[in-house]
Amino acid sequence: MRTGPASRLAALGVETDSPGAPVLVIEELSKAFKATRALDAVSLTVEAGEVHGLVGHNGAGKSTLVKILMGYHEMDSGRVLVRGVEHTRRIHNPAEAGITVVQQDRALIESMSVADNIGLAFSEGRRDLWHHIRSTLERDRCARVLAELGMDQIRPRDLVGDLPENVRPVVAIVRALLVLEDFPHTGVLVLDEPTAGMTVADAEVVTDVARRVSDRGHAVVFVSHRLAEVVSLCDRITVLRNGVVAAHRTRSEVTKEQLAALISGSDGEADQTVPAGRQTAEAVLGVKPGQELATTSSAIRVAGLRGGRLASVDLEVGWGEVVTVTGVGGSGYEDVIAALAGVLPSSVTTCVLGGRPVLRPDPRTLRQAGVAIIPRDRKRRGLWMEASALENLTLSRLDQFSSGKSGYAISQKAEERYARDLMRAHGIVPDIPDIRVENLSGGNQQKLVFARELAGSDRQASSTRPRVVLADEPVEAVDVKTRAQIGLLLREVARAGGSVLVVSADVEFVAQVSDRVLITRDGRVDAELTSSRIPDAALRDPGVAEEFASRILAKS
Amino acid sequence: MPMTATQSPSVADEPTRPRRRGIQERVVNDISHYALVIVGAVIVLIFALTTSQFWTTSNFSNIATADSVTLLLAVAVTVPLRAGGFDLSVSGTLIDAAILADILTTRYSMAWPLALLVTVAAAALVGLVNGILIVDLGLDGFIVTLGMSTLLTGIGFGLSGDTVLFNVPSAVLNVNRTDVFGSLPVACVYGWVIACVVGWIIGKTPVGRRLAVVGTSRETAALIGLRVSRLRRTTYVCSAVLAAAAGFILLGVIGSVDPGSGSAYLLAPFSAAFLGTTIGRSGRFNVLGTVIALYVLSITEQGLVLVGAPSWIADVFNGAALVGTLIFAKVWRGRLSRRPVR
Repeated sequence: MRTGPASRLAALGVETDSPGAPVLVIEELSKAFKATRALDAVSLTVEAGEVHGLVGHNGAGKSTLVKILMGYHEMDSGRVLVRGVEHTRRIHNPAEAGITVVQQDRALIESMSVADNIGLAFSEGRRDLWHHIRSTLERDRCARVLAELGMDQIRPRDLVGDLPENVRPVVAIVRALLVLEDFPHTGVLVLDEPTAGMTVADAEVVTDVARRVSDRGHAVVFVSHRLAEVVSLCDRITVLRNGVVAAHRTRSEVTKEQLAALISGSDGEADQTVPAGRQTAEAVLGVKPGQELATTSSAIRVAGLRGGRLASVDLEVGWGEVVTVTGVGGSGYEDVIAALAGVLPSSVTTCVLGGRPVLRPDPRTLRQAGVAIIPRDRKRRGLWMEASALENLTLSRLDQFSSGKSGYAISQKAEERYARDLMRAHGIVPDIPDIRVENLSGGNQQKLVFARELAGSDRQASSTRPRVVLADEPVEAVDVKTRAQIGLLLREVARAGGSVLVVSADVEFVAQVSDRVLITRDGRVDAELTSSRIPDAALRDPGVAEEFASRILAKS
Repeated sequence: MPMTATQSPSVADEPTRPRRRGIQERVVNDISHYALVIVGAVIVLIFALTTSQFWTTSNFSNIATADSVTLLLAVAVTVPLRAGGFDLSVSGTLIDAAILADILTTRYSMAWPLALLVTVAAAALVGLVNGILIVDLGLDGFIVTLGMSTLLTGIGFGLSGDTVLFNVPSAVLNVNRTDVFGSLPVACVYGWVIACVVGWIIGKTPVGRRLAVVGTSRETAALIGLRVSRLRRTTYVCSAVLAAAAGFILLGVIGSVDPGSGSAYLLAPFSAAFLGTTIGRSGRFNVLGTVIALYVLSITEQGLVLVGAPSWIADVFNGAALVGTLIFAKVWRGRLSRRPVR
């Protein structure tokens, strides 16, 4: 039976400066961005020696809270107390205040040694007479701390690039820890998704280190959405939902299923995403269930695709299937759709899209072939940010709203009606056509792109809607509900006979949505994986998907 | 080996609950879109009450006449601006068109409609060259058109033999100077009609909407499949053609053309175009805004002159209006950007 932090620290013989008193207190913290409230009177406390879990769906406010602790954002109201010192407005010098944050990208330089990476936080790269002595002292300190954390397999001289992936976050954690311990008092270490993308076994190494850091008397905030880990590691857990604290729980009083329910709201809400997805697709594609858009020609057939990091890629996607290309960062998968769409300079030996041969990959040709493109980086490529939702939605179909009778002027009424209907069909909230796109959440913005693309364009040769969909990171920076909706939408396109090619690094999503997964390595397709057949009007079963995901990770 | 994670808080996007706008906010919002018109009306009122010569037909028709050339030039630069480009060569095209039209109608005794056609065609060619250099070769539009302007001015001096041309055929004068509505030269009406047509196309038709995307979100425009290059090139041809029309009007209304006078016509059109973006909800370049801004600026200048301000006040005004608009756009519109757009 695990005891509370205070008693555990006492048992370990660790002195804290204020036993029992919380190291981190967040009181009634609020923050709004333009018209949306990211955090609303959020309060939580973390004691010395405690690992405190922070969970919640995307858009719930976790990242905003972390950024406030980092001193990056200002607070609108409320206060943060670190070791009894009050901070309002902004935490000006987090390190001095006693807070360090290990962000998800870790900021490690692979070509430098462990000791040098850690030293980045201190020496500011000065190379003077004392450099050699300082670096020796740093190395020794490094080695000592690594040993104390049970990580003596990492040697300070090792290059970070040579370390196995799962161990690298530890280097970042050690760096943060040493910054914290540069000051005499204990402090707060915030870990932001430290185990993202890791297998369970690898993640255990990191959570172990997190526990040991807390055993040194610090307060650790563990932000994660891997609920099993959170439940086994954390003493107490705070659930954020839509910017407010939905619940505080201790380890002993909650299971991971209950946490999941708390994160998404009542069970009723979670179920509603399934029918919404189905309705959406039918309304959007104008296809009745069972009706097929079948043809005998191939949907997507590409040979010798070159461009960006791609050396040469061949792939084929049939009608009615969802195929995803993924892989390790830098292996080339990222460039597949960009190359096909002509966003990157590219060339291709053969290319058939939607049954039509395409001579040169470029957006206009693809549009004519009836291909819908959902680009990554929607703010720069997918959306017209300086315009309203309505203007975005009608952009590819302007000719349908203007006629010679009105002097070719665009009919405002017709546009508005079209836009409102489309926004409702896709569940874009709020369904105000005039709303500026920048005021929509990321999930709604992405749905807007889907809405525009699936409706087709003026330029299309045939009058039916797009049957080939290229989706590049379709759920990037999108909230959990919209993720599910987009996943279902892609499945519906396939079910209606369309052909979907997805590029994504989001292994969880990939596993739920794909019929086949292609994995790239060194600019070529290296492996192909498949899993159970996905039932209609649904995503793959979570248990099966998890197993599929780990197979995908293993192969990459 | 592990890949980039699934939804991490540092990547995921921040939040979802929109706030309701109060009545007060909405009223302030709507007023600010037409602030320039209100300011203009107030200025007119002030001058009308303080100076007796202000509120007279002759004063207003003087202003309209004086602005007949600048109006068309302002409309001319609005077109490329909407698509994100600067055409600084319009003043060069203006003068060269006037000179060419004069030479064709006097030295070669061409009928004025034909001379106009030839001039416009020549301008279109200039515009095309601009377009190719800027869009296809990817050169900086600002520098290219600046250079082109200097080049054209040089050509103007060459064509005119380095002197002011005084000899304008009466046909040309008549077609421009005939009075309508009492004391207003018909050339003003030409300008208004052209402004209306261009304004309609830019503001109300699909082409105009597409120009706006190209101007503010070029990558999205390309990915959607718009002919971005063609649209941009066309805007430069349009600005040149409109500048040529303005040149013809210049010849007729002023009755002479000074090859060195081009630069005097450069700033006011741009001030008007930029100031004009404050009208309407979208902050985009538009013809109606440009026209209103032009008249507000020149009415104010004229009013100031009537109350005894020195003549250099015009430059101060135009410059201040240009810079002021940019500040306004950054500060006020930045706060307003949460409002809906239409």
